This record gives sequence, structure tokens and C-alpha cells, in this order.
Amino acid sequence: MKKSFELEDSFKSLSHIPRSEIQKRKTYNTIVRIERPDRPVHYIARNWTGSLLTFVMILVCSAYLLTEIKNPSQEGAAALNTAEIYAASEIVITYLTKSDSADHFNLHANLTRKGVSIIDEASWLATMNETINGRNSVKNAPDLEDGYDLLLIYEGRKPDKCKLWISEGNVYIQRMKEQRVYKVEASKAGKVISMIEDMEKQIQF
Amino acid sequence: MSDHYSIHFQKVYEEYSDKVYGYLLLLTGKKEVAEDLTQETFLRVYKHIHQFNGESQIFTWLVKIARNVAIDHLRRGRRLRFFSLDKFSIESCQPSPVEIIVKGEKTSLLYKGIKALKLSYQEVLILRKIKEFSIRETALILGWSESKVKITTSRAMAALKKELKRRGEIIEEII
Repeated sequence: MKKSFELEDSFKSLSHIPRSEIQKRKTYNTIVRIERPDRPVHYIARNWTGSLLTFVMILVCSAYLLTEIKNPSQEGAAALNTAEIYAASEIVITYLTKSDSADHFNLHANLTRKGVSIIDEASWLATMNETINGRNSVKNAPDLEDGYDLLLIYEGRKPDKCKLWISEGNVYIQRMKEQRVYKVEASKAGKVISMIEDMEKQIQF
Repeated sequence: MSDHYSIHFQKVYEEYSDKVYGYLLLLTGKKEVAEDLTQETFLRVYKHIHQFNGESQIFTWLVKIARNVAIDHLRRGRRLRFFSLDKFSIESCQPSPVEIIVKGEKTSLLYKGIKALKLSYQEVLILRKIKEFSIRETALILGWSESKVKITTSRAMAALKKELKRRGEIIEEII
């Protein structure tokens, strides 16, 4: 009887699946904007084009990656060795909420509760990937004040719990498990800040 | 479209699009596809919302549309696939969506077990057990008789338990 209840519980846990608020807005805007044409032929053609483009891009990226592994660039600090290439995992989704304090991490459970923003917007994920997987660490970062708890979910490895804070137009990120502080590239900090401000308005952390 | 019509549509979208997205993610297993199909579903809703006659709950009506959109998508996928072992089914070896992985190992294993079943079993389990639609509502969405829903649910549960057992001893905990 108990096992049967547990199966029912597992079914229920599949009932609520989180969805990116940003993607939800985008989809809504697309729906109200589109005046749908007669689709079938165009739709299939577009799918074919998309698949073909994806295939070509995968081929190009694979070829480039293979070249880099076989003949790694030796110029400057940006050169990656093979181990580093394999070690880097892509962030696939992030959760963000307002921090209670600098020490306490607020995103342990109930990730779909009010006040938690789910972000899988491509440019945001790219910036997070570049910042965390890159080596742009800073030594004299300002102290964490009025920060955010940031949970990074990777494909194929454990999530990272981080603190994120903003100071004088710069964005800093620190993994909970290490002392090193990463700084978001200056050219992208503005967009990150404006996205956080938008989320604060929409979700009211 | 009038303002009144748009506001009505917006309310429906705000209230139900996450649930429709969740249903489509369970059915397709890919969040990008689920989001695209959610868009396609609500485009159809946008055009035809005035045809909703109130015979069923609006969510039932929305899921019926979403299901038709998803089946069209799976059929298109099959036409583009040269070798297919199972009619319309999605490969069970594909990784679970991250939204399901984060719910824990048991849930993820259950999801994989469901995805290994044939499509009619997947559909009836998603609607009856996960989304908790009644037999009547499930019959309406799938276009089946109520007795077919009952029989298929029972067979799907048996197949799921067998599949979970086959997948290893860890699963024993959740059966």
C-alpha cells in the first residue's frame, strides 16, 4: 500500500513543471503579433531549413573543436587544454532570488515558489557560462551587499550554488564552495543588470 | 480582434499556458519543442476561442487542442525519420528534461519508465495519473470511449510497473 502511495506521489511531482517566465512572455508576444499565414508548406520547409542549418552548424563546430583539440592554441591565457574543454559543462537553466544574507543560500527547495525567477534565456545563459567557465576572476571584489542567490543547473553534473551581486555597474558572481569571485564581462554587465531589474519588477523578489 | 477578445485570451493564456506547456513537455520530452507547441496551441486557441461552447472545462478543451498539435508534430517527425522502431514514439534513451531531473532521481526514473511505453500508454498515464483528468475528460481529449480509457489505464499501469522493475532495483522503492 505504501509503495502504491509513493508511486502516486511521484506522479503528482510530475504534474507541476517549471517554465521560464521570460519564455512565457516571448511566446505570448509572438502569438499576439503573428497574423498566421497559410502554414503547412511553409512550416515544413522552414523545419527542413532549420534542421539543415543545425546540421551544418554541428558539423562546423565539431570540425573546429577537433582542430582545437588536436592543435591547441598556445597564444595567451585564453588557450584551452583538452582537459579544460571536457571539464566545462553547459549551464542549461538558472534560478534567481533575493538573498536573505551573505552566508545563507535560499534556493534549496521549492524552486517554483513565488519570488524565484527561472531563467533560461539564451544570452543570460551564455553570459553565465562565460563568466563561470571562463577564468575572469577578480581579486579585489567589493563586499557582497543586497545580493541574489543564483542556482546554476548543468547538463550532466551537480548544480552550482552561487551568490550574485551588483556594485557600481559591475556584476560579480561567487560559488558558495569557493572563495574566488568572477566578474561578468563589462560589455555584458549592463544587460544582466537590466534583466535582473525587469525580473524584480515582474516577480517582486 | 477586439480588446475584449484580446483580454479574454490573455487571461486564458496567463492561467493555463504553464499547465499546457507542462503537458506538452511530458509528451515530447524537449522543452524547446514544448514551448513551440504551446505557441502553436495558443495560436489555434486565439483563432477559435469563440468556438469554445462550454461543454467541457476550458482546460480540457485546451489540452485536447494541445494533444492534436503534439500528435501532428510527432507525425511530422516520423515522416522525416527514415528508420523508426515504434510508431510515433519518442526515443526513450533521450535524456530527461532538466525540469524533471531537478525533481529528483525517483521522479526522473518514473518519467523515463513512462517514456519507454508505447504512445497510447504514455498519453493515458499523463492524462489520468499525472494531470489527474477524470475518465470522462480523458475520453474527450483522446477521442476514446470511457471503457477504452479504463482498460488502457489499467494495462498502462501494469506495463509501467513491469518497465520500472526491468529498469533496476532502485526503482523498486517507488513501485
